[in-house]
Amino acid sequence: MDREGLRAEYAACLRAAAERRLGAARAQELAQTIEDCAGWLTEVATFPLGVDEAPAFYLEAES
Amino acid sequence: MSLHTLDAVDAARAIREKVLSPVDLVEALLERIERIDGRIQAWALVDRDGARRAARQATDEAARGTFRGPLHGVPFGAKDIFYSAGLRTEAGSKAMADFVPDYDATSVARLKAAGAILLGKLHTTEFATTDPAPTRNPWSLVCTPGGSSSGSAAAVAARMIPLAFGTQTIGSNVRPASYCGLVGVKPTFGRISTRGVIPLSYTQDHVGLMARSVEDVALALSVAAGHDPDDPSSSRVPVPDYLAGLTRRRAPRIGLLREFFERAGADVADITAQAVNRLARAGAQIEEAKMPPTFRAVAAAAYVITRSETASAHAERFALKADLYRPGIRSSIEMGMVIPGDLYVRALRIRRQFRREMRPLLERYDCLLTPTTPTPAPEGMATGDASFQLPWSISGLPSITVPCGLTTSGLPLGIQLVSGQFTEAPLLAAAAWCEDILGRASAPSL
Repeated sequence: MDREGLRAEYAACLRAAAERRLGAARAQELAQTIEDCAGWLTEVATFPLGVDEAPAFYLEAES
Repeated sequence: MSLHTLDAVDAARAIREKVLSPVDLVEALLERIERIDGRIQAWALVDRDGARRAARQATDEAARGTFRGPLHGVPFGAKDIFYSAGLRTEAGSKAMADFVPDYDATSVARLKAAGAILLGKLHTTEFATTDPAPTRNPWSLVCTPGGSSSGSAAAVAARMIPLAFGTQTIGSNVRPASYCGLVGVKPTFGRISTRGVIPLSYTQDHVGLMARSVEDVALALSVAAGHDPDDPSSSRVPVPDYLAGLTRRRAPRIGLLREFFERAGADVADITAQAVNRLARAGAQIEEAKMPPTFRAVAAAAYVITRSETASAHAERFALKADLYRPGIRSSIEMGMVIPGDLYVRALRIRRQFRREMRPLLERYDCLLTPTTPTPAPEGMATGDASFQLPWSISGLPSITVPCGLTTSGLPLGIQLVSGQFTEAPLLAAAAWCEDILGRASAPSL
């Protein structure tokens, strides 16, 4: 899937989740925020990441 | 000299030498607040009775030659998301109306244990996000002081307090400090305990400090930093004497991050470049440095991490009081509720990759340098652009802003220095050296 297709898919998923958790009226009010969020998610999803890169939760405080 | 203009180190020294009484200092600051805070609106709550009581006790102890610590008798303020035992802590939110914690945040408790006097609580944007505080910038009342630590920056700049706690999740301590002509430090993640600080993003919340000199933030950081067993993110790395470390200041090796200069407005780029030239003429070794590839993704990753963690931190309160939340924080929580979990974890992986890629750059230089903000403090209520702080918040790296000049319209600008994790001592020494060359910001005329 190309980047724009992925962004549209994320927007649709976010909209569906927002309707389910927040109600259709509130999801509609959040339409622009959902579009913005879909853009961020696309960047996170497509950025090249090392397969061995584990997540840092508490940022390894080197304690 | 008017007592309200005393910096923290000078006040502490004068109290120890018994030429200044904490009672007189507190009264001078309360009078200053009474006179000008109607215009600035930095304070959410001034604890007049508590501060006077503590000042009398500090004065009595000093007279007997008893000093609790290096900040004995020195007043400070705390952003209104820091718990303060017996004092309202409302985080700028109706959802927290009349909440009174029964214990102090660890950071507040540490300053008190060192003899400092909590004068009151300082306005914040709602829950330290974007819905603005009423506070105005002392350099120009039509401008924002920045946020979210709006009251902290404005109160220190307006000489209502010498020292204040702020916090930074994205850009909320260093940016307002710069907009108000202050020194502001955001130490390494885990350096200062966040226990008792209302959370926004568990893995990106940092406690920071603002003052009018590098010496002052160094002294306060020495006191506030250190392991807290009640904070799961608190580091055990030993805390050096940051103030003593400033005696080792020397011309630093600086990596200049050109990407930030290119994103800055023309006036900011010009004034910062002039400051860099002055540092170079004074002996700093300055080279251009380039941010690593993952820099491109850190804004997206930070968005995903903060929204997801904000939704978790606020889940219980939001379920009961959603209607009391203002629009910015409300939509942040709501988006956090629907972001897929796999992408939250992927954002955490991006963060780790970015930290790893930054390491060689940080090892090559004593510090990296950027303009602190892309523009001076903007007019209006919106709290400004946090993008120049975001990479150091997401990566947990220490950063500090030092004033570097005024725009033609008289608004302060700063340079931001960044270094490797837990290298606050050399970072502060480099900042003090830069401060020596560039001079301290003057006071706003009020």
